[in-house]
Amino acid sequence: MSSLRRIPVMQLSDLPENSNKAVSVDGCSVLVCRTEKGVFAVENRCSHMMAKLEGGRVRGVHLFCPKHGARFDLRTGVPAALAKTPIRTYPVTVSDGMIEVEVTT
Amino acid sequence: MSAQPKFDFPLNLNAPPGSLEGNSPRIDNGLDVVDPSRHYSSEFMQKEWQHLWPHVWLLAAVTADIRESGDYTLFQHGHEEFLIVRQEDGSIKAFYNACPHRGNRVCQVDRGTADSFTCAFHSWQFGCDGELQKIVDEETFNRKLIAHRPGLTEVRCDTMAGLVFINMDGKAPPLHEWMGLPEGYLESYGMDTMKLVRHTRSEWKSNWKTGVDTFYESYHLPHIHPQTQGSIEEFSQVDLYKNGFSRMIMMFGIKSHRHEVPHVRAIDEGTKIFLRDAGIDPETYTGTVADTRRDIQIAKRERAARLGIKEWDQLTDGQLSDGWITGMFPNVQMGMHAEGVFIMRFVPHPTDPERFYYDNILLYRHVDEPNYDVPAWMAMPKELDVTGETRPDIERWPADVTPEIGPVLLQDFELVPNIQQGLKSRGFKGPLWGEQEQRVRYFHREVDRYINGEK
Repeated sequence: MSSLRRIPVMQLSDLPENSNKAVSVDGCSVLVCRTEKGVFAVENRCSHMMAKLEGGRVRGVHLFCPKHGARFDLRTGVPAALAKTPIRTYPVTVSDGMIEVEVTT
Repeated sequence: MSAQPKFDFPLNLNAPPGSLEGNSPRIDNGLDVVDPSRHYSSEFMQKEWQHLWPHVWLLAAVTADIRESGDYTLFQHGHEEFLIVRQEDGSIKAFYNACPHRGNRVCQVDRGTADSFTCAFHSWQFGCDGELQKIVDEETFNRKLIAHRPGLTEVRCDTMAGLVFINMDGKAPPLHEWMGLPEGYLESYGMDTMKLVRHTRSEWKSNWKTGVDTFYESYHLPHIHPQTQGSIEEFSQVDLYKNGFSRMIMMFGIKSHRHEVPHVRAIDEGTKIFLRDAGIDPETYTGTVADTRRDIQIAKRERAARLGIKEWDQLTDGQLSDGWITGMFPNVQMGMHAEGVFIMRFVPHPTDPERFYYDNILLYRHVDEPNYDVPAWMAMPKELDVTGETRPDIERWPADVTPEIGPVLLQDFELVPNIQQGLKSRGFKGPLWGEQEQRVRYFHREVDRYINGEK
């Protein structure tokens, strides 16, 4: 039987707009991205050539892989350039200034 | 106030000589009939790569597409590809998109933003300035081989009026000297503050020059685009400028002089569209067909004042209503309008002289007002975001798929392969260009100057 858990990962104030930071959630590397449209979390691995996505530029609701430029929609994980496979996304909530990533166990 | 023009050819709008709207002095380009093999022979295609393309400035990008440091876009031209990157200091640099290690395309994404570029083959890494940043396992290379720290090969690049140009051999005159259009012409439209809202690229079955030839004259309008007869005058004012540049002014929102319906109060459906675009309700409009162009100008002028569109202050009345169809030698034509600029690039195919890519970039000035919409002639899909907030991907169509470029351009798409086939016929002796096709003759005369080594 699965259950939902919200894992606090960092303070919102520690993540400037249009930046991202990788955190470990249940042993998985998750990239938390703050955009002008909100905070999103995706797996920290590009589906193009498996590079880490951390450090990639954020523009609007898109994340650009820092290695080859593959672009992902942070809302859905769907790639718009180069990569063909969507990356995993995680629901995010911000509660009392704390970013929480929702995982299923 | 502009008087109703007379529809004699050559058309002259009688704007003051020397003004942006003024008719250029006449140039005699002779009556030569050129050998049509230039439109299909591989030999001529090779000559273009030797004598034409490396020596000219090519329109590579628009600045609207690379606004911030690290923003980049690719520009394909034949077998070559260029990476255009906004620098930290705000300048723009261009590079051949070929890794100095093994030649692989370093960047494989049309557009994006990055801190660096990593080649997918062996992960050599380059900065936005093209400098080499990292060679993987560098110690396994003989030092002499990489002593020059091979970076991306830079290509000469310059900008003007929101347009980015490259020159491959680095020997063309400075861009501002080479630009044949009158001073202030491009700048008057404020393209640098417009947004790129659509970019399409379709493959057409003809030589790139067959495409240019088709779009460089309005003589074909009544025959290939008969639906335009109610709203566009096909007798254009033709202007020939230095270095192969040219223009035709096409009066929009007016009945063609040869329209079968006489000039009476009945307004054609096409003209109604232009009236609506200007904010005039055609159902309550009381003017006649002789008044529409002038009333469209007045309505747009009033609307600009009301909505605060300051960029229109510097435009003439003619620029508000008409299309200034502008040829930038060698392979660009721009439909210039107050609301937006429709850029067409006729891009040669990498290997086939009988194919080209018809590249359309639509720049648009978004006005956040419920009753202001994209002009209907732009044939924009309704669902398209025209705010400029989202950078659109390039929409592509291969040669055998009908592109979604609107009904008028589709008529050209269907026409062009038939021209291409016919001009290869043993029975065809070469094009007989008339006075309405002066721009076509002038364009080929300039191509010949490069091919023959005069330039």
